[in-house]
Amino acid sequence: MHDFLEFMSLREPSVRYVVLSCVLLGAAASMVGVFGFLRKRSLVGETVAHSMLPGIGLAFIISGSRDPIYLVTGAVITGWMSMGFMNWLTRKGPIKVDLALAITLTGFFAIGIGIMTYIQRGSFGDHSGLDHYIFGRAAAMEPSDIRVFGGLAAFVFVSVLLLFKEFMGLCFNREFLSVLGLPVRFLEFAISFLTILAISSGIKAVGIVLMAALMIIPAAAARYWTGSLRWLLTLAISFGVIAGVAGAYISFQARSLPTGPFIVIVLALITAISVIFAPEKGLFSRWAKKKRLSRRVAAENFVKEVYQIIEKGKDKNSNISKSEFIVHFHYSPRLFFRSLRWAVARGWIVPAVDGMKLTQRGFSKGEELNRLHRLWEIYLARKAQTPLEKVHHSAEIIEHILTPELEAEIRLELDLCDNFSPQNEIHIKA
Amino acid sequence: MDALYIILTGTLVAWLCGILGVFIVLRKLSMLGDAISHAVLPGIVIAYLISGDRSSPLLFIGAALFGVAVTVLIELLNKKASMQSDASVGTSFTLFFSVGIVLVSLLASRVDIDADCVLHGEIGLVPFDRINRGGVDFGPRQLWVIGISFLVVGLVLLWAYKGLYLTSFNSEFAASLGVGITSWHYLLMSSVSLATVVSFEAVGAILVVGFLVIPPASAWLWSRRLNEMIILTLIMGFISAVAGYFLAVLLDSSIAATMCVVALIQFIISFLVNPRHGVLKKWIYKPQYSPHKPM
Repeated sequence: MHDFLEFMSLREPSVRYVVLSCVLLGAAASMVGVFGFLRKRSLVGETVAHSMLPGIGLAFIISGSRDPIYLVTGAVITGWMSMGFMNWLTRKGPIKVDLALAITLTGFFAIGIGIMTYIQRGSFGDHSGLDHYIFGRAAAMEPSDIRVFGGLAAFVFVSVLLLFKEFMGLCFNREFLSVLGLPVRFLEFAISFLTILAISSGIKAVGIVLMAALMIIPAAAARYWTGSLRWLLTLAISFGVIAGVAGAYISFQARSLPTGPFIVIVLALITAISVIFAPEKGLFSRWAKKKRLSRRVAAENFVKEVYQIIEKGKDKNSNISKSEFIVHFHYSPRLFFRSLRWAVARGWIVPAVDGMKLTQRGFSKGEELNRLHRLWEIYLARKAQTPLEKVHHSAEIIEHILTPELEAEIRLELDLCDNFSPQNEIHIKA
Repeated sequence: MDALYIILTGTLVAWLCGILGVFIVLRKLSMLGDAISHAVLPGIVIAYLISGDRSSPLLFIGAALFGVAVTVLIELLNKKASMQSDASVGTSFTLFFSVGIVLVSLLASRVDIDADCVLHGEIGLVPFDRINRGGVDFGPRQLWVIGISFLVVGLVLLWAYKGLYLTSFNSEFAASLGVGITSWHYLLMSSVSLATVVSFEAVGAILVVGFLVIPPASAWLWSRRLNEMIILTLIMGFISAVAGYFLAVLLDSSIAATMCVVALIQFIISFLVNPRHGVLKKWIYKPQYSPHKPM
């Protein structure tokens, strides 16, 4: 904990700049990643990132130095070439996107590995530190690295902010943009170019193999919390920044370990929390919602069936015993008690000495459900020409979700007078 | 003699991955193949750690478990948590791969694999790791492992040919016949994880995707039938192993990588000149008038 506080106080200048650079690149990558995610092109980043390896190697061979400016230039060029190659494959021939991605990724990566091995075995001077570009080594960033990578990330960040509205249009309504007379092709070029720049800004801190994760995962996790683009971007950027800082911290704690994998693990934790606990879209809240619905349906069915027993000629206030209920409806003991409990909890039924009794609310609920059930059956039979033996099953479902407004509309459609009661119509049952 | 062993190993890797890759490509699951081959890494490392032996059957079990686990995770994220499919693939396998890399770097002293091995394997070392029983030399261990796996996977595919054929080309029809699509899917996916483990030492976890996808893709461009495609895949795999080896010697580079590069060159040539949809043909015989396009 002390270490962490020491780290977060940013007292050491070297720590300060590495953290700043990681924050910037986390923000830039996740920001661009949101647009890739929305255009369903997340895996393009994966391919482009892997394709930067040959560029790094070639730039080193040609320039003979490890100056990040040359290496990034090389990386951007081959990243750009891989994107062009992918587009060429999918446009000019029968190759599908999925296959083009896989071929480009491994093809370019193999060339890169070939070049890297060639460098290792040949006599190219000091090539130490080139392997940091594969899995990332945030703590090994020098001031010159930080200037280049941090600068790139800041450039991407600002450009995306400036072009925010246009990019939003590109994701949601491309045709509309072109009708407005905006240069759609230029914008597409811009978004691809910024994607490549964002990836290249992380090649030293995160590494090319896992850089794409920093683009994909924050957007995917943020999507669970919100449906608005502004919030999506804000959340994704925060997740990216958290991951970047965590990566820098881990890298300073254990200097011999690669940074990229740790960043991905932090991101995966954030995703897991989002997938499980996010309101509305999270697994937990969806499970709870489903549970609530199924309980309501079970309770409603129960009340409806008790009501039907009464309807067959019993007094409204008479007790109905369990055995009487079971004779009419084949409930298992477990289902019987659970449905009873849920109906009691809703105040529709009160337990009595020798069975149970409908309350006033339960009586009107049962009456309403039966009415809706029959109304729907009549509607299906008359208006939709559904065979009579099929109407019952549909009505079993629809009776739980028909609202009063819909009921009024169906009545209107069927030309029924207001005091028409479907109870008087012959009950159709398959 | 060493060169022969290396080429033979390379060929067998290309064949093993190729015959599986044919179905991967036909089912449009290339990126899933990529995901699986990345995701088996933690399985391999954990099994190494437990058994301390590189040819232990535990390795296959570990890898197969993780291979299927990543497929299941992708499905779960996609279906249950309704994440869009490209993001669920990207999230799942990068996580598995990261766990693997972390394990490799944390346990570097105790496990006999390093990051280089993950990236491109050590096919050049194959001839030196030999099986020696009672003074009799049986040849390289890797060659045996990969060869036997090729035979096993080949036999399984032969047995499963009809099912895979049906589910690859017409899954609705297959489903209507009562063929279980899911079980064939998982059979294929676990075979891919098996192929990845076996090839891991020779070509690494990332380049194996190249062997899996590129030769079948080139073969697909030339062929009209499944059996043609398989035969062409085998031929192309063989060519890339041989040419890749000599290219590596010429350039003094990684053998596995150059084999992959040769496969890529084959693919580009196929893409340009193949008789059916070749790009070159369209350049040469540019139609003067096409009824589908406005003039």
